[in-house]
Amino acid sequence: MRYSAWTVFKQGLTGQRGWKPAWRLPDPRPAYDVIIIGGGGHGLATAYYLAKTYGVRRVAVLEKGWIGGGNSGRNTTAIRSNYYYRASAKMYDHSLRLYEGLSRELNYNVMFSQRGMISLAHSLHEVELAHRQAGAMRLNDIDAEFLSPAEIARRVPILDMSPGARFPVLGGVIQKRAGTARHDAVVWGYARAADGLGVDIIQNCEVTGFRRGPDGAVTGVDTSRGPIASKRIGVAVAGHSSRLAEMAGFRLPITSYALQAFVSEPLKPVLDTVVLSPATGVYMSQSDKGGLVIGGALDLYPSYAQRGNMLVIRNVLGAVAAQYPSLGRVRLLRQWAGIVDIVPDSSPIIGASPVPGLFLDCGWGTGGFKAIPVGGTMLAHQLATLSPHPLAEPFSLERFTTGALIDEAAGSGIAH
Amino acid sequence: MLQISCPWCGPRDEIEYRCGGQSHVIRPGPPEAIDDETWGRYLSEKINPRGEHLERWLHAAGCRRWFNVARDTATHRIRAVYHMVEQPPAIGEEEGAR
Amino acid sequence: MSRTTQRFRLPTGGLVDRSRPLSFRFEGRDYAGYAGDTLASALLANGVRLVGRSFKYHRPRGILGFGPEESNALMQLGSGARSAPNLRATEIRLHDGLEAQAVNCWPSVRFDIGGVNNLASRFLAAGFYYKTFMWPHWHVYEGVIRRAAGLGKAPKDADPDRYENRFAHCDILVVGSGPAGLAAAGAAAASGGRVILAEQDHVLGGKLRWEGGAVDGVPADRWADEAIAALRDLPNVHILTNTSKRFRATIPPHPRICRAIGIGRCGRAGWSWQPERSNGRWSSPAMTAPA
Repeated sequence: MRYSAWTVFKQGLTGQRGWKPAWRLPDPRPAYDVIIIGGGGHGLATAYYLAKTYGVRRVAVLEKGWIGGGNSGRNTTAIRSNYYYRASAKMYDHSLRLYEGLSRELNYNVMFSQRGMISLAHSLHEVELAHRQAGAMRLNDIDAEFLSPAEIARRVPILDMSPGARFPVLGGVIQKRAGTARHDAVVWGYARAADGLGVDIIQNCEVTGFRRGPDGAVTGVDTSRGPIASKRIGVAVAGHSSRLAEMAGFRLPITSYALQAFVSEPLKPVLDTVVLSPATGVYMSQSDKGGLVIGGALDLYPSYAQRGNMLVIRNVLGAVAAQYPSLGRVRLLRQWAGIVDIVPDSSPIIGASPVPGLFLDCGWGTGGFKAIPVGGTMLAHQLATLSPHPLAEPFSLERFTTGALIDEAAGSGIAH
Repeated sequence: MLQISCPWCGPRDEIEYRCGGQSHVIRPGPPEAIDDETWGRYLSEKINPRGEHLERWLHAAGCRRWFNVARDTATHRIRAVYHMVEQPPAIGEEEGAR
Repeated sequence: MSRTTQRFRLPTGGLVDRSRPLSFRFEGRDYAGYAGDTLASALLANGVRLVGRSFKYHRPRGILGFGPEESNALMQLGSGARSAPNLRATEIRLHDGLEAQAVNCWPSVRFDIGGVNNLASRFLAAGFYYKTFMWPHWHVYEGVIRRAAGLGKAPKDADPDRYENRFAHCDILVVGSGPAGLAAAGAAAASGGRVILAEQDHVLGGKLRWEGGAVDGVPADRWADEAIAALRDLPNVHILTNTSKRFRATIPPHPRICRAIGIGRCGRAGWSWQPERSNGRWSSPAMTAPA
């Protein structure tokens, strides 16, 4: 059934009894044309585009927990495409453009709010780097503008712009088309749309091994809910990618870390844009519910624990208190972490794995949420046509042998 | 806050250390004698287990020496701390575990 | 202080000091209370029952609990640079000259324009905003919704106070200083490990302070005092009061800590409903709601 103001009104009159489930809870079938392992944003988007764009009908998404329970439910919701290199810029901007039309396409309000993202410059060196970044973005046809301190003060009144500020602001770069979206809604929107096209979303279904044919190609998976056959399998499991790879007999250039995030108690609006301070690695925005959503650097040792430690909490919140001195008495509501798959050049790994029939969408590190639409697009193309999407070609696993790395450590925005 | 027992300085807070990633990575023979694929895999591949991880740590704010740690990446529990050129002690024979 | 100004105040009993009257202001009206009151107890003594509005429909709300579990009486405390949003009236200790207002209602808690949402409540069911507000795009609706959302207000000026922090380590952490917590801390300390006893209130003893009764034949209040004195004498026990919202323990699952917390779960300093912990690491994925 279609969502609209009219159906909301009509259901209000009739006691909310007519809503249909947003997605089914099917049991797994013995075989599918394509299996996607991972029921987060990337996996569900892949399933949606497979069905919608390529007409692939028998698709299953296997999720070991509940959909969106991994990094898709734990990120700080920032969406941007302010990267350096042409390959990354094109790819992330394609994602941003898909976000611009996503609510209408999925008929689900993902609340994409293009409130802009400002990256601050705290020293003359950083001002020069900011100009360089803005120039690189414009060369890649991406909107970027250098902002003066006065313009930043106008946009971010709570930022300490005084002469004695701990982190003086000498300027910054804004990408106006960047912003935030409601992360759970992105997952649910893709799930509902994919389910509507016949995709089976199977939760509480953990893959425990791969079945291979005599030629080494995949023929299916073993799961906690029984074996399922398919000759085309996509893996979109973020921080768990190495574990799946291990089951298939290969290794990835990935180390998994805990990335913490924080939200304050709900407040009346004080911040209307996303602000990043590269110097502290801390960025903040305010959700439509009123909480200040804060992110910072990794806890710098490998972890699958989905929790970080006090040291990072202190450093991140200390930076917030220093840069936004009026927030010192605001209290944190919640703190959590995801498992981010960090790659040495901070760029994703998309495409073929060493195992025939098995394809990867991983290595997004701390920046997977903004790339959900394009990640799904690229993996769907690969699974449907067995060849890489043009946007995905530079990001193959091969680059770690050929040396054609795409070093977006700066673009990824936080210290790795 | 992790507490790690430096073999020379004793238990210190995690803030004093820096993690150097996966340990026991053996560098393959002279680079000119190795094919690109082997070299690429040496540079980039990681075990990245969910479970016991053997990793290097530097006591950056103390004695500035490197040592090895056997630590569980899911629970963060440290099973053993041992010297750089040693192998990890067998399970049950650890010293310095917390 | 005349009884007529605090109609519901009992003449004796409780933890207030009737020899030390205080005055405070709630929603622009002046009231009287005593030292030892929380804002909530003082409001109840004065017969003030309407203390807040529900988040979405702005329905009238009264005091529900007596500690951190309070979900209705959320206050904006004070004004200016030291104003603090979203504090619970049940946790605010009354001081002379205290000023408080309910959050998220305008112009006042008694007459709140937001109550119009209640008229439309049948249309504003849970998650309705995912099903609409898409055309032409979200920006058209976002401003109004952002202003309606949020509870208290962050101060406009820089926080004038400075804070210290330090990290502490222990072998056994006991959360809660009611009868179970005090007993657990004593037993834990006897085992020789380093013990931290954390209590969210400013006094130790939990229900021993207000439920009466006896422990091992000793009146509860006195048993508490003796147990606390014994703990204070021990060099390996560290007692922290006023410690909950500001206390976050990153605890690797360790058998000794698990058991101690199991024993120490009691009274008001329980584990399961504190916001920081309810989404914490020990709930299984099936129990933890996505953020």
